[in-house]
Amino acid sequence: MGHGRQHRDGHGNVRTTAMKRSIAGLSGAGAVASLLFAAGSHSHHSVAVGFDMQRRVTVTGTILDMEWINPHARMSFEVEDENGETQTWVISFTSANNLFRRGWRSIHLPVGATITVSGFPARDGSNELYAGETRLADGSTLFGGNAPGEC
Amino acid sequence: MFSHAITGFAALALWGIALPVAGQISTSLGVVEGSVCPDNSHAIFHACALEAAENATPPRTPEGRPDFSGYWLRRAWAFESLEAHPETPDDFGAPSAIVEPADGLLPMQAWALEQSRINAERYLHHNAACILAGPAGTMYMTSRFQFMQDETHLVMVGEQLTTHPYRIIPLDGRPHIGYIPMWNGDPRGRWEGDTLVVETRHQNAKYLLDQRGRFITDEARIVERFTLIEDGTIHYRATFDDPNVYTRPFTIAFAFRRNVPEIWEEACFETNSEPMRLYRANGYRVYPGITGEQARAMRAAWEAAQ
Repeated sequence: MGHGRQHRDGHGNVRTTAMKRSIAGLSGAGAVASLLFAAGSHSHHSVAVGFDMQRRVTVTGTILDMEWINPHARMSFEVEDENGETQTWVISFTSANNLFRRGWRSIHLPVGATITVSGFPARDGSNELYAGETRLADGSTLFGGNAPGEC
Repeated sequence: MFSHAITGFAALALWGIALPVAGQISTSLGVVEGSVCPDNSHAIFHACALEAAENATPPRTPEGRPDFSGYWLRRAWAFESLEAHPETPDDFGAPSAIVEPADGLLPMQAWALEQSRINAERYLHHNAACILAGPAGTMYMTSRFQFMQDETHLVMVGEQLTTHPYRIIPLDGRPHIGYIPMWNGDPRGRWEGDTLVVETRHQNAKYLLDQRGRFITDEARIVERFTLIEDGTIHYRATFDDPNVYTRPFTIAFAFRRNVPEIWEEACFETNSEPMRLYRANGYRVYPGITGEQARAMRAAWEAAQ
């Protein structure tokens, strides 16, 4: 499995049209939305140990920092909640190598840029996500999760 | 560090148009057009490769041995489960990688089957802690490899999913080192015709075979076979023989395809501390491994309790 599932745009970015649909219906800046996801057994995988893969959370905020490191790139960004207070969220992605191979570059994620990230929330309730997709201000999307075609 | 054990991802269930429905077991792992054995599905590929090997004309070294040098992509999805496993939000899903026994099921002893369930409930997969995967586990977990071969050694380095994937396999007939328990053990390669046979002893068994808690002991004998069935395809097999845990030996098989341009550094420790904090917060510990002596004691205790 995994062949032919990536779609690159003119900038070499990987786009996932199906994921776009999952984001389109979510609320705007500062909002956090949680969705029940497809049911499935919780096998003992490392991602599932730390993150709830039965739920998805979408967060919009501004980038504070992006660490291009392996085996998981990490981003911190600032989110304003309904009360106008700011929270710092941390997003874990697949490896920096994978992101680079997909066409992700540092110019796509400058400090201060507004992004929307959809992913799986940390089981301990902290402000952390394991990211599936990042939507940039221009509407383009970058898939940051794990792809079977790359494994 | 968690990507090294990462499997199915909910997002991927929505990704593309040819995905199987969640809960189904995929029967196809993709095809490679132009290959003498195009279907990557483990059992289908294995059966084809056995026949193709009889007429193979692989590239050869100056010494006349099949030349495995180059870049390879693993085409197996066994690290979640060696047996057939359905696609879920947490699992890519795949048919069984086990080709012997033919039913695709692991021949586990009853106590070991129960212990596997306990392992899966209690312990983190070793890769989450940046721990090596063992000789065969390195092969079915690591995504990309570079093989370098000369008359005396086959050296493998890899990238993605496995922690620090490298193996150094002497081919010159030297004896095993002796009992020094190592993560990837003490391998020795020999040629059986055009097949490279690698026997590994003295692996420490401090890792799980898959994310279902399956395991071996430090007394297991692991024999791998590498056969170039054409320039671009390796038929890989690994036979595990561990009477402490299994009722009989079993064999997994899959393909390596030659299609990655290069591999890159992928250090494991850089983000280990943060994911481990989450795992520990949720009550998990790293799998401690098991010796043959411990296995025999656990089997006796289990049988006494029945």
